[in-house]
Amino acid sequence: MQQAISLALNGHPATSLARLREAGLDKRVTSDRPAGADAARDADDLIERVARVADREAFAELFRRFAPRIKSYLKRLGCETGQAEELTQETMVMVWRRAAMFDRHRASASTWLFTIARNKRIDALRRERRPEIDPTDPALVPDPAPSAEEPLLLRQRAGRLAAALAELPREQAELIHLAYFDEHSQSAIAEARRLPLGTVKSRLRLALSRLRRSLEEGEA
Amino acid sequence: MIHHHLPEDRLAAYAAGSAGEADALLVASHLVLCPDCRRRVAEYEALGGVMLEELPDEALADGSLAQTLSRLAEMAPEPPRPPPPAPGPLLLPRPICNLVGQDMSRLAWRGAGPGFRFHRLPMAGGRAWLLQVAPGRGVPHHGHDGEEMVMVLAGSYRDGAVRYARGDVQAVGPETRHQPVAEPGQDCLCLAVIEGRLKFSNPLSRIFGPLLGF
Repeated sequence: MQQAISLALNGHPATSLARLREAGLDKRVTSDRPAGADAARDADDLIERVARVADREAFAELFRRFAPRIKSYLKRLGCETGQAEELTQETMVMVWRRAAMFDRHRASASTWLFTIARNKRIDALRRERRPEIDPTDPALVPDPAPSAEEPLLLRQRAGRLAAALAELPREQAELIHLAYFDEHSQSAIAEARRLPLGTVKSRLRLALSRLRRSLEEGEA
Repeated sequence: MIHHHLPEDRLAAYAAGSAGEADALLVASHLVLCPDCRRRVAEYEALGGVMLEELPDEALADGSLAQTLSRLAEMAPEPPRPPPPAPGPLLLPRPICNLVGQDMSRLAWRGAGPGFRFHRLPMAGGRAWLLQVAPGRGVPHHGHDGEEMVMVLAGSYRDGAVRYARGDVQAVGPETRHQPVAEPGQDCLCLAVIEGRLKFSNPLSRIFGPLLGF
């Protein structure tokens, strides 16, 4: 374990152990949560109930399930506790307001919640805009017509993605976690590890292409 | 039909929310034109969803749910989206129109040698330019400190044997020196995002490059 961590962290075991803990990689949480496809469908149903009949009980259940993880996400990205709490509540309020825009054929519930929390955080913490696609943009090149089995594929794909991530070597999984759950840019990560920026970039690219390969192999 | 796509790490950074504004502008503009990369970004967002599910729970404040429920009542409905803009002659992706509009002739361009002009985009994070090159003209031969990404918005250019047309992205590493040349027919308009400074080969450009903000 210790060896794996040092390997992952390129000879900065002390700082990186802490970082790894921050990233939550020293423990995998699986135990008391509803798991797998059933849980995913449940969460989809809850959002649709909120959208259809403004069901507060469904919303409360979504809240109990996701708000603690969203707060965890925000704290990992450098929000202090009070701000993480505030942004978590704002994210959940947004879930309420936008529930009608949720489309289970385009994204799973957790993916949709992730994107809302991500955008909330960028709006609140950065002075920058986040350029987005606008579905009414006259320049938009439309998707090819979806096939009938597309929604099913999406569901299987999410499962395969989780499996592929679990199979990655530790160092690569850690880089991907850092890319999502670390406020530092790649150049800050490079500096902290005394690595050339190009090396950090190429390692991350390697990790991503490996992930994509195992995803595509699963499909073949 | 797009032949040159964005590097995977840029797509992942955009999905993760870690891309700076300039990078995000280029990614979002490419996504408008490229259904293939849109699908990839959706996958990286799904990866974010999977990892969100795996995070350990963080304790919420006392009464967090009750507070949130009480906030629902106060919510005003979402403001309606602004109507879609009328398409301009160049049919620029909206993330770019939002910054500069559709009419390129009204921008404050700066010239940098015959047939080459540029406009720096207002941006809080990162550095982005619109570049316009007349047919047959080129960007002066140069290298960079950091990575350069260029996306074609109109017209086309060649860099050596490779052709780049609308929507195509060229990612150029720090060591590479290159000299893109616009193809005949129409002006080539590009969006460029550059880390670090450009290094021109020509002595005159070396002097003027920094003055011009490169």
